[in-house]
Order: sequence, then C-alpha cells, then structure tokens
Amino acid sequence: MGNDKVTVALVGNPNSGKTTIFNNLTGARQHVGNYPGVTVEKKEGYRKFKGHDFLIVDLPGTYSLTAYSLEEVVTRNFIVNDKPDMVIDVLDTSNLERNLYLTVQLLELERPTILALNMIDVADASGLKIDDAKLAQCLGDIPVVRTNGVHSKGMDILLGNILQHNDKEKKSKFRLNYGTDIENAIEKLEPLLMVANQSVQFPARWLALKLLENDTDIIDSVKEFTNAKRIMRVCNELRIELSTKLNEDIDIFVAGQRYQFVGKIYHQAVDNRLVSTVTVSDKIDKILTNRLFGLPIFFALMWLMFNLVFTLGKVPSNWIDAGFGMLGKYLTSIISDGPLKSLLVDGVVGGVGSVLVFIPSILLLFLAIAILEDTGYMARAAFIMDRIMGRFGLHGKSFIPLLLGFGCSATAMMGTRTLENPRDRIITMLVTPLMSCSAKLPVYTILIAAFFDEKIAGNVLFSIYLLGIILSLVMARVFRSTLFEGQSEPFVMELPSYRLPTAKSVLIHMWERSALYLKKAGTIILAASILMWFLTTYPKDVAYSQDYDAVLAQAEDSYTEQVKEEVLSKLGIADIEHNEKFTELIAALQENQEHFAKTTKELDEDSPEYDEIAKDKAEKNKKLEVANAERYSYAARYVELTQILEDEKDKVENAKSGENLEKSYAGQFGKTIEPAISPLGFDWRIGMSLVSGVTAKEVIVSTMGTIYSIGDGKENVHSMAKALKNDEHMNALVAYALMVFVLIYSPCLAALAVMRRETGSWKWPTVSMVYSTMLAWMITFIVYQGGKLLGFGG
Amino acid sequence: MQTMIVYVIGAVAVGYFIMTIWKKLKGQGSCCSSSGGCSGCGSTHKCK
Repeated sequence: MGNDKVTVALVGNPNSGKTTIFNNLTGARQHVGNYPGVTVEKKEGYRKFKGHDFLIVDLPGTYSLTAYSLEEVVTRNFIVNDKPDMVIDVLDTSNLERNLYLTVQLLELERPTILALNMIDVADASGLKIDDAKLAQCLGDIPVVRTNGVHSKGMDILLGNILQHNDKEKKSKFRLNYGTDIENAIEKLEPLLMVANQSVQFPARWLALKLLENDTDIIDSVKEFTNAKRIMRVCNELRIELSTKLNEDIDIFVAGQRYQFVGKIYHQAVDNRLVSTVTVSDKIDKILTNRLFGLPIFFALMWLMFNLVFTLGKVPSNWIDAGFGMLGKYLTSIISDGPLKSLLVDGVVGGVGSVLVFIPSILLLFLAIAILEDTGYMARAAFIMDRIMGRFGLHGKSFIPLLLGFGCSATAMMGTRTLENPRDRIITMLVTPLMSCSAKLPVYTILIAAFFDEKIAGNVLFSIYLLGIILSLVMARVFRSTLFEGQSEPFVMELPSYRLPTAKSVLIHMWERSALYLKKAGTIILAASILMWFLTTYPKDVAYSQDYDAVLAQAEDSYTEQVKEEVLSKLGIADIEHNEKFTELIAALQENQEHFAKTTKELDEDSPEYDEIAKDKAEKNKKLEVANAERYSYAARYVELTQILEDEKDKVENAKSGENLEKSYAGQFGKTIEPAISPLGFDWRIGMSLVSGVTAKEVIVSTMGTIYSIGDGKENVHSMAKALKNDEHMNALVAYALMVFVLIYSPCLAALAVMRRETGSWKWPTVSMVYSTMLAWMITFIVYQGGKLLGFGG
Repeated sequence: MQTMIVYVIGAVAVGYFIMTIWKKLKGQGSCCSSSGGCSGCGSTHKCK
C-alpha cells in the first residue's frame, strides 16, 4: 500500500456510536446524542496515523440499505459511488443481533469491511459473551475489533486493521445463499447486468437481488442501461414466477432469509445465558414512560429546565450587563462627542452588548438539552408524545426535530430527514419554528425580567414554551386535514439504553452552541446593530415640532428667578458660592439625595428595603436640620429647585431625542407599519425590531438595545430591562403579547433557507413565513385585547 | 473625521449584511459543497 489517502466510511445502525468514534479518530467535535438520528448529513474528518493520511466519513445511521428513507440512500450511495477503501461497520454490541442485519447488507456490497464491536463495555456489563473469531469466520473472515467510543478505546487497533486489510481489489468473501429459487433468478439476471454494468458501480449480484426486491431507486438506475427494456422484462417475469413459488412478497422473503442467517450467526458466536431480561433501562422506563406518569414527568422536566435557565442565568447575566454598562461609560469618557461616539456606545455596545448578556442563559439551555439528549431521555420524550402527536396528525418521530427546535430551527429542519414520508417532513418543517429556538430566549428573558415578578418568572417562560408546543400540534392537525390529507405512518423507534452523560460531550455541546452565538454576535448582529444605528440616527436635519433650545433656556431662566426670590433674597445674600456654610449644607443634602437615588435604583417603592433607606435618609436630613436650623429650609428648597431643573432638562432632552428617533429613517418606516401592529399593543419601535428580527432572532434584542439607547437621549448605557420599564408604552400585557408574537412569527432567514434547500423550492418557506406571521398576529391580538378586557396591563 | 470613520464602518456593515442575506438566500448548503458531487448529499432535489 502506498502513501495515498485512505478513505474510511463509518456505517452502522442509528445511535451505535459512529459519531463518537468519528470524533475520537479525527479530533472533531461533531454533535453526538443518545438517540437515533443525530447525524443526518455525512461529515468528513482527517487523521494521520503511522505516516498515512485517512479521510474518515461519518454517515447517517441506518437499519438497512433499502431506499426507504433519505439517510439510507445517503449511506448506500456513498459506499457504492465513492467506493471507500474501507467500511467500518459500527455495531451497538449490546444489541448485536439487530445490528448484524445491516452488516449482512453491507457485506453484499462487496466493499472491504471491518466490524467494530462498539459499546463493548455495556455488552460486557450485561453479561454478553462474544466469540470474536467465530463471528469473523461466519461473516467471511472479516476483521473484528472491540471498541468503546465513549472512553476512546480500540481506536488505534481500528486504524491498524484498516492499514492491514486495505486492499481495493480484495472483494468480500461473504455470500449469503437465499435458496434455490432466488439464486436461480439471480443467475439469470446477473449476465444481463454484467454486460451493461460498465458505468454502474453496484455489484451485479447485489443489483440483481435489488431488482428482484423491487427497489425503486435501483430500477430507476437500471432504466439508464442500454438493454434496460430486456432487463426489466426478464426481471418482471422472474418476479411473477418467484411470487407464485414463494407465496409471499420477494422483499419480505429476502429479508426473512437475512434475519434467519443473522439469527444463526448470533447463536453460534454469542453466549447470552447470563444476560438479564430486565435491564436497568427497562426499570427506569417503567416510571419515565409510564402511561399515567410519563407525560406529567416530561412536562415537569421541561418546567424545571426553563426555571433553571431563568433563575440561574440571571445572576451572571447581570454581571455581564454591568460590564457592558462600564464599557459604555468608559467609551463615553475617552471619545469626544460626535457620531463615532454615538455609534460605538449606542449602536455597538447597546446593540451587541444587549445580545451578549444572554450567553449564560444560552449555556444553561444547551446544558439542559445536552443532558436530555445524552441520557437517552430525548427518545423517551418522542415515545411519550407519540400518542398525542398521532392525534394531531404528526409522526411520533417528528417530536425529536421539534425538541431540537428548542436549540435552533434550522438544525431541527435538517433533523426531519429521519422522517421517511415527505408529507410528514414538510408538516414537521412548517411547525418546527413554533418551538422556541434559543435565539428567542433573550427576548423572553429581558421582557420577563422587566415586567414580571421574580417568583413567577420561570412559570411565564415555561408558559411561552408550552404555548409553542401546543400551537405546533394544533397547526400540524390543521395542515394534516387541509394541505396534507392522509394518515401518518406508524411510529417505530429504538429506545436507547440510558447512559450517564460524559462531561466532555456535554461541554462540547454547550461550547459549540455558545461559540455559534458569539460568532453571530460578532458578525450579523454587529452588522445589523450598525445598520440600525444609521437608520435610527439619520437624517440629522430634522424639523422639530418645537424649539427645544428655547424651552431649555426658559426653564433655566425660571430656575434662576425662583432661586433668587425664594432662597437668596430670604437669606439676604447675593450668591451661594460665597457663602461657605450654606454651600456645605447644600452639598450634604445633595449627597444624601444622590446616595438615596443610587441605593434605591433597583428597589420597589413598597419594599421594606426601600423604607429602610428612606428612613435613613430622613434621619440624616433631620440631623442637618438640627445643626443648621436657620438655613436648612432654604437649602432644602434650593436642592429641590435644582432637581426640578435637572428633571426638566432630561425631559426636554428625551423629547428631542424621541422626536429625532421618530423622524429617522427607521422611525419613518416603523410609523408606516405601526397601524398594522398597534392593535397588538406594539408601537413602531417594537415593529422595527420585529422586522429586523427576521434576519436572525437575536437581532430583535440588539435592535431594541440600539433604539432604546438612542431614544434615551444621553450617551450612557442603561440596562435594557430598565429602559423598557421606563417606556410608557410598555407594560406586562404588552410584554407578554410581544413574547407570543416573537414565538410565532416568521422563521429567521437561516431557517427559511434550510427549508428551501430541504424542500427544493421557495414555495414552503413562503407558506411558512406567511402563515406564521398571520397566526402570530391573530393569537397576539387575542392575547392583548383579551388581556385588556380582563383588566390586565394597566 | 468621526463622520468619515462612521461612514466607512457603515459601508462595510451594509456590504456584509447584504452579502450574508444573499448567501443565505442563494446558498446551496453543505450537502453539495464538501464532496463536490450530488451523490449521497441527501437533499431532496437535484443540486445545481
């Protein structure tokens, strides 16, 4: 063997640990999970071993090589067309008999194959004893290697075996005898296929067998042959003849022969006398998949997950928020006034910062999802939901892509590839965006933090996710009874054994998603924030409704007049600056006032802490009054007048900024769409954020961050929650309505693009965008107007 | 000077934004990019 690149294909049943072995061999960090159907696309990775270059290809898991579902076609076509130098058949050893069915089919493709007895630790622990040599002998002397993907054991032996047995010309010795009738038919077809088989990659015997099995994909390939008509005529004659002789469908007979063969091998090579019939997983399943308790346990786990995400995520989020506040202040102090300062403080820090604040929540969400996936609970969730899903016209298997939708709708749509029926796939793709993806989480978190009591925050978040699940089921029913009439197919899915999640796998999962989030923050969200800053800042030459400078000047004149009349003349002094004791008294009062404002900033006025601080301030002021009996009332009045002037200045400045914002390009656009969204309780600023959010849902928060930062009128960074709280248009009802709208309305651009790719046209993405936005409007209208009628929202 | 810098940043951001959206709308996705052919990409339609 030369130093050419060795191509190795990893094939096996779903959830047999192919991706774990792929990650071990290549050092990649592909997503793994303890449920079938994690890998839906083939993945490639590289490895250098003993001076040889390896190209390792991880293929989607499959139970057989029929052309029943997409992953089966992907796997079969890769082995046949790309002709890998070596096929590694990864087996879940604890379910060896079932896994060997695919092995038989792989060997029939005549590619050099190595058997990797993976999860050997689980098999050993269960008491299963395997005679590797016997197994190898029964399968035509193929190499058999014991592996434990989770603990990276057996990887070098695997690579060594690949080098040792890599011979492109060497054909598999394996040949399964299907009985006289089938063998005779194969013999008649084979010569016809050999003549025409020059450009076709499939082995002639396998091709003949597939034709007899009526494999539609293979029939289509054969139709390209020059002697196709003759082949099909002979094939049809043979099929009729065989059906009569066998008295059953040929494909069922062939599958039966394979199962019989696998059964024989299993009994020869495996000793399972010590294996207990009831495993630990079975015992756990008795509770977790119980008909009565299964569903409540599932919802309780979901509730726990969202409560943890909210409560635990809040603390580090506040730290990051404070960090961005400091960064904003620092930039304000070092950059001179001008557009660049505003762009950096309001646009970049206000926009991108408001999104990055939610990194802890994203990490926690993916920690919870990774644990659900890695333990094997995800597959149980699909099983538990199957009966409900069936009633709503969804395939039970659809629940896995739907659960993946909690992470990312685009990934979830790719996950629908495990569904065999195209109608099930499209229905699932249409309802998947209704499951709240992680990008929507920051919107919910910020609105809940601003408008809902901490005690019910987790419940509010859970209610939004629950609404998403309910709506996805209802819409699936609607689609099933309108666009996709017909019954969904029966649900068959393997329940994997429960496993303890490994820290490495969970951390990889969390890191991958968070890195993606950070990358988005530094690219598309940053670009969108800058763009939004321009749209909210320009044009500059705005015709104001009033002369704000004159209003300010008038306020200052009035202040000077009042100070003179109510303070200076009463004390008989010309100015304050030259009266030292009076100045000291004012400074002390102002210090008290500032301290009070600072310490009560985050407190509720009805709270005992607020009362305590107010009492403390009153006591300090009382002391000052006793010590300065003659001057105290005038000093207090002076402080009060100064505060009134400051408030008035803020008010004028805010009004000016607000008018600037309203007359900006974004404001003008927002105002044009405002009539459509005002029945939902939204103003133009929310409308603008929602429109920009179609590019990526995180952009909703960054846009709000920029708009509220600019609308604030001062170049300092307030926390978004506080800015929202101060907005007179916002209240708890509007916040909830907004969360509902964000949950339902149009999927993001990435999800729409994946939908186009998966369905092959823009038809379904357009349907998805239109129906979800219309549905969002209707549901939000009901929530907002209904809430108002019930007296919520103030 | 600040205005000049702001305009340059804005132009880069707009360019990046438009390019990203264009790539998303026109992109083939990963199924056809790595292997160079359509075989086994798993897509339900023919890759161009």
